[in-house]
Amino acid sequence: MEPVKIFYVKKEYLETHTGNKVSRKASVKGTQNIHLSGKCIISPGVMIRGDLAPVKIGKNTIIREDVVVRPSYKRAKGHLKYMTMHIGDYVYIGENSIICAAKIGNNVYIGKNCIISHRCVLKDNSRVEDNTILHPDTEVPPFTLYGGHPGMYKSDLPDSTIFIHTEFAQGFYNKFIAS
Amino acid sequence: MRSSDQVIISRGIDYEGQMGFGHGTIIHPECSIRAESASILFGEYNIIEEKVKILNRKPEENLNPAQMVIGSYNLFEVGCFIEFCEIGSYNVFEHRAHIEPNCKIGNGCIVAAGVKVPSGTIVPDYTIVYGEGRTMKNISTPEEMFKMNIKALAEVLVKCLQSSTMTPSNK
Repeated sequence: MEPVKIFYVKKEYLETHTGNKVSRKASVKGTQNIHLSGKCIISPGVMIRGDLAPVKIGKNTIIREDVVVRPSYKRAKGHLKYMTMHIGDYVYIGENSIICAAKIGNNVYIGKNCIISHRCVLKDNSRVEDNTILHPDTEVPPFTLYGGHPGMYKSDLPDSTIFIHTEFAQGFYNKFIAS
Repeated sequence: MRSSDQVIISRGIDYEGQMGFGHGTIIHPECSIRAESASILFGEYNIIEEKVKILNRKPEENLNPAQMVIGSYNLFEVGCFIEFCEIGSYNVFEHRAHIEPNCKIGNGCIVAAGVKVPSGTIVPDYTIVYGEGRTMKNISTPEEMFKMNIKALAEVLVKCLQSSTMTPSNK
């Protein structure tokens, strides 16, 4: 999983002083509620719904094309409430995925075409295969691989996952170069 | 486009043809609703999330276009794809559910995430469709409870959206 060099047109991306690169073609709603910690990449076609609830994204997180990030709701004391969505550091989210999770930990890899349904919790150092559908309220434990339809436990991951996922996210950011 | 009081429609959705919306309908951005051959009618309190496609596109061999009627209190989650079919009330279409043309969906059904319902299927009342063509009786939520849930969700959404880029229309 060595990242390849990706060249982008400088005009099409906004760059902040902390190194976030946000595509101008991404539809980000409720910008005042979205917190990017730095060195994040938001690709074109991404939809982030900050107007429903705050979205907090950690550093070096990569969100690929056509992903929908949408906070989920829960019932608290008889009425519905949209929850703040936390996404950790060094998270990679593949193309065309739908993310409605409650919390995503650090060093998580999510493949393409995944559906992470309402109130799912992805713990640190976990991995979700391509084309996985996680049903509502699923919890993915640390150092595990989930896959299939419906998303099930597949295998354990080695302790080195933490470095593999961190290096992948960092490598992707470093090889994302303005042409 | 025809709508009764309090309907929230996001700016810049892709629409074509005649359609009518009942009270309390919420349409999120990047949806596409295309009534190409005949009109589409929505009941009350339908919540249509991002990237949902609802089409009334008759196949070429069938030349008598009919009106597409969607009942009340339905929830269409992100990425649903629905072609011409009859839809009752109190249904949930989970993420990326795909309904092919000429289906008939009753009341109180749930179509699970990523499931494709083949064309011409009749889904009876109170069933859950999951996996490839497997069904199960839906006994979890009574109708009244479901109605309350959707109304609560619509209320919360109205509060969230009123301050942002969306505009309530009073046509």
